[in-house]
Amino acid sequence: MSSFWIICWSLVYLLLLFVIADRAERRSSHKRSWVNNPYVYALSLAVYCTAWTFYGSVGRAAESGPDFLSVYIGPTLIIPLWWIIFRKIIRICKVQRITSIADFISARYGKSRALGVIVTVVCLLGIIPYISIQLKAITSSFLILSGNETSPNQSFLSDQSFYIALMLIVFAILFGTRKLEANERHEGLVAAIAFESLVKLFAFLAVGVFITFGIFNGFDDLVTRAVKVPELRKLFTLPENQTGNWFWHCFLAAIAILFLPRQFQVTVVENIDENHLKKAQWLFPLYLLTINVFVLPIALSGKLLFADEAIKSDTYLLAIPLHFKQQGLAFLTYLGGFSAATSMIIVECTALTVMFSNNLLMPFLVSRQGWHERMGSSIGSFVITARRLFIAVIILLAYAYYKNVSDKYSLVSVGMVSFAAVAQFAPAALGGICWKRANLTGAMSGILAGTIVWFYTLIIPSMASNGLISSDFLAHGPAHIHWLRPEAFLGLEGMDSLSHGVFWSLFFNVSFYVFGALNFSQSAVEHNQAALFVDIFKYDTTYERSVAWRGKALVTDITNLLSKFFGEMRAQRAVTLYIKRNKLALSAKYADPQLVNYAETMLSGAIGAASARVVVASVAKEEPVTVDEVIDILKTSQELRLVNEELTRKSRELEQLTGQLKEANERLQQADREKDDFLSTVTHEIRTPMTSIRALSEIVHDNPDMDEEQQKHFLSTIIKESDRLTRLINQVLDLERFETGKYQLTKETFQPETLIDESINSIKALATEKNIIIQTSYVGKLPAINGDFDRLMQVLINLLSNAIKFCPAQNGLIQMYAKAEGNHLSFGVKDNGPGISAEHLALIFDKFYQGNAPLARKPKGSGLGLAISKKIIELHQGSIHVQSTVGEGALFTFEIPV
Amino acid sequence: MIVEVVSLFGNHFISVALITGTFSLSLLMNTNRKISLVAMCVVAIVLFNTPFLSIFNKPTFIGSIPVFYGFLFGAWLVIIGATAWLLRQSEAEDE
Repeated sequence: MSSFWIICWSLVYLLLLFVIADRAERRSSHKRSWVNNPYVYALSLAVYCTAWTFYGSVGRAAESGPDFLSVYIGPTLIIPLWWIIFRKIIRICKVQRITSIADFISARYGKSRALGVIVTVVCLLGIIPYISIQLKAITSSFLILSGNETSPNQSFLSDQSFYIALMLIVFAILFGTRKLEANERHEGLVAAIAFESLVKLFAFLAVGVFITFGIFNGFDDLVTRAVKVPELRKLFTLPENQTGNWFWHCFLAAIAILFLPRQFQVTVVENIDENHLKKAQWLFPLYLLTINVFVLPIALSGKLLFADEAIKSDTYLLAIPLHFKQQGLAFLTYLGGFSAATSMIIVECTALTVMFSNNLLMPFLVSRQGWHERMGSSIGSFVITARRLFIAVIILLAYAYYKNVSDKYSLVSVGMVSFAAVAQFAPAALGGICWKRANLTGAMSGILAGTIVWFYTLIIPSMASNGLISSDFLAHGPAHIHWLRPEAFLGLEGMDSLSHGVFWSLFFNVSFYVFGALNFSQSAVEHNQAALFVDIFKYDTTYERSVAWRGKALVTDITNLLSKFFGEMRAQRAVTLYIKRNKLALSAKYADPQLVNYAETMLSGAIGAASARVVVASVAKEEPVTVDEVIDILKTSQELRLVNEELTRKSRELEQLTGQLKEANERLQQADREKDDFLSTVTHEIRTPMTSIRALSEIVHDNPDMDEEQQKHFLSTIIKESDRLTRLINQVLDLERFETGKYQLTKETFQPETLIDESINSIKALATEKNIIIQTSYVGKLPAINGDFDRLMQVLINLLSNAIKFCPAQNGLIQMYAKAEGNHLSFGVKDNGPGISAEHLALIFDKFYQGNAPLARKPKGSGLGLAISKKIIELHQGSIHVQSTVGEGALFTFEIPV
Repeated sequence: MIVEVVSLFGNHFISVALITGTFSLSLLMNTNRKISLVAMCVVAIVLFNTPFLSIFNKPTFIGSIPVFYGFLFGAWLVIIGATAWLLRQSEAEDE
């Protein structure tokens, strides 16, 4: 493939990435974010897999077996803890608008400028070699694919890698420094690297499948052949004495992944929702596992195929497809490696520039007298320009490093040294979120000591093998002091150089850190920040009130300050909104401490915690705050939170209570309405017989000469009506007694058969009169009941007389039964009358229900019979029901417990 | 170095993996998620380190799978699975 076409297609690919990023950014401004989901988040974390993973793993596997896996298994060891560690860090960074690892550490230790600078410098020292190996990977893959070889003594102008570096500079600038953000989130960037993660995974798996199943006959075949080669047998296990080093490598990877600037950027700064962590936390290791499945097969096949040729094992991934004339696959591999390298470079550069501008550039600028005047309102664009230049500087430095140093090492060894550098942040950062006593002195001396030892034990040896330092230094130590040998510091031998360096650097780091924390005191700001970091979940809702600050600042000064960085409109809006939301005095001349702190937090997002502090201090007259005051303020803010919680709880309770009251009130009103209805119905029922009694007796009274027959008829009607009246009144009284619970059952034990027989006897005459047949059946052996005989008989008579009332004039039939069901006894009375329509079934047991009954049932009773029956049955702990279909009669049943 | 190919069953690698697997999964039965997560982490550290690792650091094959790689990938998958399982229970609770 000609280099021209490779370059063209690489540019097309970069353009595609740029389109993706652009689309993602547009979508996010329309609230339809691509990035706001755990899958994209997990893929963006895979920026961890750089060209080192892509090409280097195979190389490492081919040289020293399973050791390459430690870099991926290491992070897996602590992924269960991510939910605990990262959720806390993410919350802290969101609340305090922290945008880089340097900011994080400097903010925790009292927003110290010096610490920010140290962390930034260590990052630069550690990461530039790491970026250089990406350049190396891109260049060498480019050369292999295009079939060119470089001559070692070229000028950089004819060197392809120089142009690749230039291309990457442009690209990283386009991605990482588009505008000054208050939160440093770049959704477009995240979308692009998530896409790149897919590309590199796909490319790697494609080559893996091609080699394992296309060239060889699967894993079986490969392993069987490899086993025959003595040299390859050792690749299946760790060397006997290497298991200790394996631990250190895992350990290093586990902590490096927490604090690598690019990982911090994607995991913490670019995080949109804490809960995405939950899925990403297992998807990401799964990605690592998947991308490593084919590493060993590829390494083995490379060794088998190129046994006699001098092909670097780092390049097997490309060399094998090319060997088999698979140009397309080789180009896909190249793209995969290109993705891995570019995504790393872009994110790393973005993170490093943020650190550089927030911790080196801005603090330097704003601490100079009169920076306001000189910068005016152009400070935003100044920061952007500075950042762009800085990206160029980083990549050029990486290029220089690549040309002079890293070309001589494998990808993995350079990467591991970078890991060891960022591992120096682990004590300060992890200690900072869980140990309140940890302080600036400890953190600073720890990081410094660790870095010095790192440099001495890991960088010096590499310089020596490069010829920069005499190898005598390495072999015998400085001035022949034997125990100062860089690779056997204090006489520690038997570990590999990396494990040795990691051990000693972290040993001194942690010792200084703990010693400093135990023997020096904290300043007020530090104390404040320590509490806010360690107990972030307690303070996050009351953060602005939890910061101790005393002093005077004009509101206009604060607004002006903000507008210098964010523009007039945004600044004005932010301040007004904040004042409104927190109900501060709108027209106050001096800013409330809360507002000052809000402004400082907002500025931190753009220029870092340390510089924000300096900038705010430049417009405000601060008064010192003591540690005691800090403690007081924290206490108040915690109490405030407790009071808030208590209030919410109380108001919830009140709400519940109000609901209950409302319900009770409704019930009362309902009862009241029922009573009114009842009264009016009763009076109506009484008036009807009264009217007829009065009318008839008047007639009899006024007509003394009425014939006897007539008179007798009238009088008997009067008697009947009075009976009805008495019955009604009795029933009303009964009902009242049942409803108020005054009625006491007089219980006795009797056989249900007796009850039924007596009921039928007392109603027999009525039935015979209408030619109705009553059939009785008993199912099973009936147990004796304990109940009020008279009242139960009343119920049965009521049901029977109802049935008689509704039976047709011809062929009237009433079926009665009693059956034992478990510990219940149920009775049924069925007629063959017109039946009851569904809508009335529900109401039939209501008082005076009959008044509403239409044609279907025209009763002649008081309308209280069924209501009373229901009460009686309920007093016996039983229940009464009715089933009916229009035209097929009705069945009344009741059950009472035995 | 002798390369020995053993059958799928009847060797101690499988038994060791099964025993430790069961043991570690029993940690997930704990109701406090934070404790379970920390326990998972401890289990992972033990599994992937000396002396435990040296049980599997042998030039032996089960079928055509090298025991050491088989163990690394297997245990790796188990830890990923267990973490996923732990985290899918109950939504975020603040401390």
